Amino acid sequence: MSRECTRCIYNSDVYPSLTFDANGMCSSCREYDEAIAYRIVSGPEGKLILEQTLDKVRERGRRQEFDCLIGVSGGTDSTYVAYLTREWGLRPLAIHVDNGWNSELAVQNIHNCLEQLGIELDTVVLDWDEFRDLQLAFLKASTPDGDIPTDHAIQAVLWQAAIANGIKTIISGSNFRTESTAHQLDRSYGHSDWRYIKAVQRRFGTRPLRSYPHYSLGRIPYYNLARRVRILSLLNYIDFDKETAQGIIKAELGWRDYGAKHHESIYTRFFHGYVMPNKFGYDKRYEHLCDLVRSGQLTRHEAVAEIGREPYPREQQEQDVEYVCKKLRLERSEFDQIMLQEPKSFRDYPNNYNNYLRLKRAANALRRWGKYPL
Amino acid sequence: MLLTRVIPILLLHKGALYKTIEFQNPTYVGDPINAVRIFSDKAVDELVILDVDASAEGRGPDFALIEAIASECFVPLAYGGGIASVADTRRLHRIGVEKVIVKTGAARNVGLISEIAAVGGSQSLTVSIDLIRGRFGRYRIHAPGTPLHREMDWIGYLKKIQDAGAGEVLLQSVSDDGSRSGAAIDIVRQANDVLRVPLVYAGGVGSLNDIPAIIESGANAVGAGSIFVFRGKRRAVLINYPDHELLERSLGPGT
Amino acid sequence: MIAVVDLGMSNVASVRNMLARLGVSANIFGNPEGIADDQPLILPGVGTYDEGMDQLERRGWLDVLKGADPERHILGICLGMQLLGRSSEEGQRLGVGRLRTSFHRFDADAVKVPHMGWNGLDVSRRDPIMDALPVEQRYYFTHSYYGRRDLNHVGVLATAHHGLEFVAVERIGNTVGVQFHPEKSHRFGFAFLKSWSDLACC
Repeated sequence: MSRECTRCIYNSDVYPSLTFDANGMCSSCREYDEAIAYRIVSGPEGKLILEQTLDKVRERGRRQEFDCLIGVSGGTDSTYVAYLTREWGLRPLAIHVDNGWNSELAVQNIHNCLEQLGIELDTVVLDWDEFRDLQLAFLKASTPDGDIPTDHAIQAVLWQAAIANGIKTIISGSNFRTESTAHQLDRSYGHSDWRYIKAVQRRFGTRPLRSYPHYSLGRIPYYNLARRVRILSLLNYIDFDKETAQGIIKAELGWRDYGAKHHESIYTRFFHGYVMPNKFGYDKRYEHLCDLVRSGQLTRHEAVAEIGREPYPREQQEQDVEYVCKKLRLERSEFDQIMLQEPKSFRDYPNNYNNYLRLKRAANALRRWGKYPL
Repeated sequence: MLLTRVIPILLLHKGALYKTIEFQNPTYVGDPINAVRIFSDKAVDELVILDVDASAEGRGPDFALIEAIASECFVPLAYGGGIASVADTRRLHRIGVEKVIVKTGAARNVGLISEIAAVGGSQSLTVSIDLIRGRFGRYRIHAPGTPLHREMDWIGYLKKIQDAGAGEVLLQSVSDDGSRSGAAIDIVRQANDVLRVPLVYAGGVGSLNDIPAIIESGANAVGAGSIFVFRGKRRAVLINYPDHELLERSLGPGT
Repeated sequence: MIAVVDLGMSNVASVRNMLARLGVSANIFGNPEGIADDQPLILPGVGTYDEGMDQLERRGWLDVLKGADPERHILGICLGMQLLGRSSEEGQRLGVGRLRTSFHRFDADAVKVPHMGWNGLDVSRRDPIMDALPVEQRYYFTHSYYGRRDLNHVGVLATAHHGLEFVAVERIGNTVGVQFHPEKSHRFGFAFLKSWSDLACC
């Protein structure tokens, strides 16, 4: 019998290890509440911390051409971050990682945003032959996060670009309110685990990764301590709400909506909206919607209605499948086979999960003591 | 009213897109299929894809790749690189290429032009010529591996290919490739004096403002690579193309 | 299901791809075997007139096109339109004759030949196909021969201009000819093919 949370929209079918308290609130909500205490700041106290943080960024970057680095993808969060850096008088360098799946709208949005704000851009174009092979390897590995190849590369590029340009602060667009970690790790672990990525590539890939940007877990303390580069999630310092942010970037930067989160990348919308529900029986929208409900940006009722709709139009899903097969050089029958393969998880492959947990706990401890950016 | 065509020119090298400067120092631009899809979604006037290695490597077009690219293209697509026979052109048309572009093939054998035109019609065939600017501002043909390499009488060659049935001529100024410092207007004028078929010029276009002068000198269309593929001082790869209103404003009414 | 006629020399893939994006089912046929008498046809065309007529005959399409009911939905594109017409200066053979236009070569002393590029339309007459399209529309043309508009020809739905006025869209019964290439005219082409296929099929 499936049990539903009284606050968010998780239920025990979707999230089997969920437990519930006396009020019917789920353990994921409880994790969220516990973490949010130290993962964000807001209100007048928040403003003060923000000012101090910005001063530090400016100070640490004052002798360089750019005092911070921002990743841009054309999505809401990174576009809004770009806007804010200008509002607050920072001097950002924008980095875009082109993985070969940009939609036209994403490219247009990036272009408009940077033109309006007068921000310089560097693009790293991933070697398509290598990247395609890696994406295919992950599909064959049958694990539920298809965006690991992209996300890992983006993070690696950001570290490398920060060091190459003498920039001490990377400003990230991630925000705890609507992208919390209070979700099933099994569905989304692996973005920073080079050991796991390498293992999948060795097992299912057909060509060596020569130019693919990467970093091992052990480099993170090195980047932070030896190179003194920090990642700052700016949106955790303000009263961030999606709708207001979108309103601003639409009006000020001519930003146009994709219709749904992450739809700026054709592969991401395909993986989240087609592969995850059909192969893994998991609708990734749950995570974001639960967070939106918890942060008061959506009512539970609205979230329930949203999850009831198709992730995106059926016809477009079909076209995306065809496009993916075309780009990955897969026969439709091969793809169908992949869809039928038994789902696996990162635990089925060599990984660095334990060390990752240690690092994460260390970072969170530092955050609690105010020693590390949010 | 015939609108001037502004055409992104993309270079294929080892199955991927590149952009060059003076045909050297290629910058990797990435997957051609997605790039063409983006340009098509941007409703560009026309797209030119050139396989820069095919003739040098003595091979024909990569039909499988071109078919995949063409299937994402809902704007006119012209392809050049390694076309050596009528059979090649037939196959290209069937997989979605509107116009075939021959350069080396024609420089080796002008008869190829008439053969192709006889079968596909002139409008399906563009002949391309690369020119290098030498001393005293004089131009010569750049066609390594063919009898026409370093030939000074490029005007004579223009007449020949027009007579042979070319439906359009693509004139590329190698010296200006990738420079974005302005077009070689002089050769446009000279070409326009002899050509009755449409003329496409490419090389050195640094911004939309360069285009009116090229059109006034007699070109019917302008090709460019760098401005549509790079953005900003740091030459970051980011596909862009002006929207129709901006194009009309930049090129002038009724162009 | 629309049948796209394959003469071995034309851009059949592009037409089918655009229809697929519109959600309209279409298949490519080298010959008329297995096609119903009322199935809508699209005749794309790249190439020369006589070769086009030869291929129509050799592949068995000539009789089908000549004998088709006036109500049958047939769309000719570029050379396809010309083949459906009366005749062309480009060739010796006569056309199918479903459309009433004859084709002549552009004067190379007056304009650049071929007519190659984007051009707008002057709509001559109201018609359900044209009514569904945006007022500001442009399409990609690439041809050396143009359809001359005879004075009393009520079948002309739209003309275009290249040195002179020529037939861009013609309709007789349910046979439609377009001199431009909708399959390469991006959003305008999508709109046109949608408008035509809404009428023709589905």
